[in-house]
Order: sequence, then structure tokens, then C-alpha cells
Amino acid sequence: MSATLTRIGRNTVQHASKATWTRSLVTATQPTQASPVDTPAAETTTPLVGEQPLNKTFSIYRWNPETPNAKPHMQDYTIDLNSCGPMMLDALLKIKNEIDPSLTLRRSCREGICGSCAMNINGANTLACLCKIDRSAITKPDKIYPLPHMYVIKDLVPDMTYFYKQYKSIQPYLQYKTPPSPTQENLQSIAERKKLDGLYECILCACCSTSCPSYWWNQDEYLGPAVLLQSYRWMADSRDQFGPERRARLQNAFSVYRCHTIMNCTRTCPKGLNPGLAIAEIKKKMAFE
Amino acid sequence: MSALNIATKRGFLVYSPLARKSFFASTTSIARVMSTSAVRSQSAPSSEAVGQVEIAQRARANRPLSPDLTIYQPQLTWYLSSLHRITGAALAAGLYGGAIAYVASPIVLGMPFDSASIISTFAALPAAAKFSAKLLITLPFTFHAYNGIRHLIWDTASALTLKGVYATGYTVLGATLLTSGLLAAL
Repeated sequence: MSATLTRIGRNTVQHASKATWTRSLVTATQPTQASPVDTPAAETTTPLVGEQPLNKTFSIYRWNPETPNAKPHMQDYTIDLNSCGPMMLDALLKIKNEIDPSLTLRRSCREGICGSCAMNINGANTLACLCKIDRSAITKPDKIYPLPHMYVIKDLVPDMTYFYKQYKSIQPYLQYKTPPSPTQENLQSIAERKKLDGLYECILCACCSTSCPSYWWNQDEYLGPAVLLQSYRWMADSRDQFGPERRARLQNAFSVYRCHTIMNCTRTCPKGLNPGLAIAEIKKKMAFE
Repeated sequence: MSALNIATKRGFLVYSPLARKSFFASTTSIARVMSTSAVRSQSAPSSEAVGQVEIAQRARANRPLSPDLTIYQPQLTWYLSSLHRITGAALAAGLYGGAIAYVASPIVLGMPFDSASIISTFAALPAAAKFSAKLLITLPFTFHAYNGIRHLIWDTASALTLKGVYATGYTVLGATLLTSGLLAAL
């Protein structure tokens, strides 16, 4: 919310003080204006001088909980790419700001670190803020769906409650049998720290989990690639002393063994991580225990 | 009220189309619901709180499932995985079906289903039919065998990079086409 305030403040009054923030928010939310959320500074409504409009259509999944009996449908929006930022998120926000304020999506950091804008773009799960709009395939509409096989709250917003509960279930924190000294740092060697590379970067956007057919069909019992990668992150940590217990909890037919090494997860990860390999490492460790 | 109830309810209300105005209105009402249920846990919850929970529950029950298989991009990863499953099931069905037919065919249909009768029937077919009939068996068999080896390699946590997955995938496909064709031509 504060980011929005700042941005609105910047657009209306240069170097706004706290008092003018409040005032500019009031002016900005007046009903005559389309919802002025997140207008990037570089974005203008008129195309740059000498440039022809480059229109592209975006076909977006819509479902409104206020009319629950209406089936989900695809709605087309055409915008000029020459007056739009380069990423899918820019296009979505342009549509929301200028055409249809009712279009609903999650977004926050717009730089691929928060994981809010995870969605299915042209058939593959990715972050809208890291996905470039293809300016060459101008006639083909871009299709945008929410993350696959999730309950939809509205439009592109899926219900992530169960995913977060699964994450909580793997106890994502260091656990000790002999607690380290409270007066000293809990040190790792460079080699030990290196084992966490490719694991700690996960932002839990759920792109991988919702790309996994196994997770689609067994979401209630299979933990899914994102949560298992996190599970392995704590097993691989030299400071954690509960590795065998962590693995014992996975020792059943569903939690980890519903992974059939399909590898959609690794293919789709917007951060370039490898959940499939992490799961294979867990399975290997479990096999030798 | 469970944490799940609150979380989903909150999610539902935050994304109501009335945008910011209703966002503030709904968060305050949630706070009210939460505080009433916490404070008056002994007595019956207020009718307003019950109404809110009901609305949230009804909203959750109505939620559609977003599309999956039908919209997901065709990728070598999950296409080969489903092929592995399908060929495995088909080969098993063929094995069991053949064994059952060997026993049941003479009794039920009055037709023998042993090696000699299969060979004589097969020999009478034209060459093209022979080749395609054999391909129908060799194609799923070789694919399933090669992809099985690929899975065994993966189980040692090797070749499990994106590059490895694609390299081994195309290798399996190439080897399948080559050897199944050769076997069918025998």
C-alpha cells in the first residue's frame, strides 16, 4: 500500500510530503478516474512520437465470485505495446488502469522477488513481471490463466491457503538436538554453505508445484516440488540436526513418492532452480536410510 | 474460527471488485468477527459473525478449479512422462490380454490362440500389415524400455538438469524410432 501511495504522490505532486500524500490519494481515488494503481513512471498513454501503434490482444481468464453461477470465461483486451512497459505485468496493469479496473491479479515487487504475480502465460507458469511480451508474434493473442488446477478466488488470483499449509508442515526452520552456543555464531564452512545455493533462492511462487501433473491430481497428499525443494533446503543445511526425522515424516506413499520425475517443475521455474533434482536427492537419501 | 477460514475469507474479501473502498470496509468487519469469536468463545457467536462465516464458506464452495491439462504448454517433459505411463499400461494390457486369450480363446471362441496358429495367421498377412503390426508392439516396448533406463539414471540423481532432461529425452526418442523400426523390419 505504501508503494502505491508513494507512486500516486509522485505523479501528482513532486517530492510530496506526508500531508500531500493523503491529499493526493483522496484526489486519485475519485470515481471519475480509472483506478490509478501502479502506473510505471515511463508509461504514457500516447505512443512515442513517430511510432505507429503496435496493438496486441491479451486473452485473460475471468471469473467473478459476485456472480458465482456464471462460468469462467476468456476476455480479450487490445492494447498498444508502444505505450506499454516490456513485461506481461506492465500489460496487465495497463489493462487494469485504462480499460477494466475490475481485472484482478496479485502483484507486488515487479522484479521477480516476491512471487505474487505467478500465473500461467501462454501455457507455461511464470512470473508476469519476468515474462517479456513477444512483440514479433503480434497477431496471436497472449493467453493468460491463473496457476493451473487451483481454486480461483477471482480472475487470476488462486487460493494458496493449502500450499502455505503444506509449506508450514515441513517445519521450514533450523532444528537442533544440541543447541549452539547463544554467545557464538553458528558457523558453516564455505563448502557447507555452497550446498544451499540453488535452494535458498526459492520465493515460493508455486509456479513449479502448479505445473506438476502429479500435484494437480494429488494436491491433498503430495507436497509438490516447491515444498519438497524447501524440505531439502533444511535437510541440506549443515546446521540442522533433524534430517533423519524430516525424512521419516516423508516416508509414505504420497508425500514425496508421488513425484514421477516429470520435470515440468524445473522447466517452468522462473528463478532457474531445480526442484526435480532436490526431490531426487531426498529420494536417494531416503533409499539409503 | 480456524486459521484457514480467516485466511480464505480474507482473500475473498480483499479481491472483491469494489476495490479499495470495500477493502477497508471488509478488513474492519473481519477484525470485528475475529475479536467477537475470540472474546465470546464461551457464548454462541453473534448472528453477524455466523453470517460472515457462512458467506465465506459459500464463496469457497463456489470457487472454480482453474484449467490444467487443456491449457498447459506442450513440453517434452510431461509429454514423455505421459507416454511412459500410456505405453507401460498398454504393454501390461497386451501381456495380460495375450495370456488370458491363450487360455480362454479355445474354450470361449473355439479358436486356438497358440504360437502355431498365430504364426500361420500372421504369415498370410501382406508385408505392409506385418510391418505395422510389429511396429505397434515394438514402438511402445522400445520406448518404455529406453525411458525406463532414463528413469533409472535419474534415480541416482544424475542427468537431472534441464539440459540433461532434454538431451536424454531426445536420445530416447531417437533410439526408439531407430530400433523399433529395425525390429519391425526383421
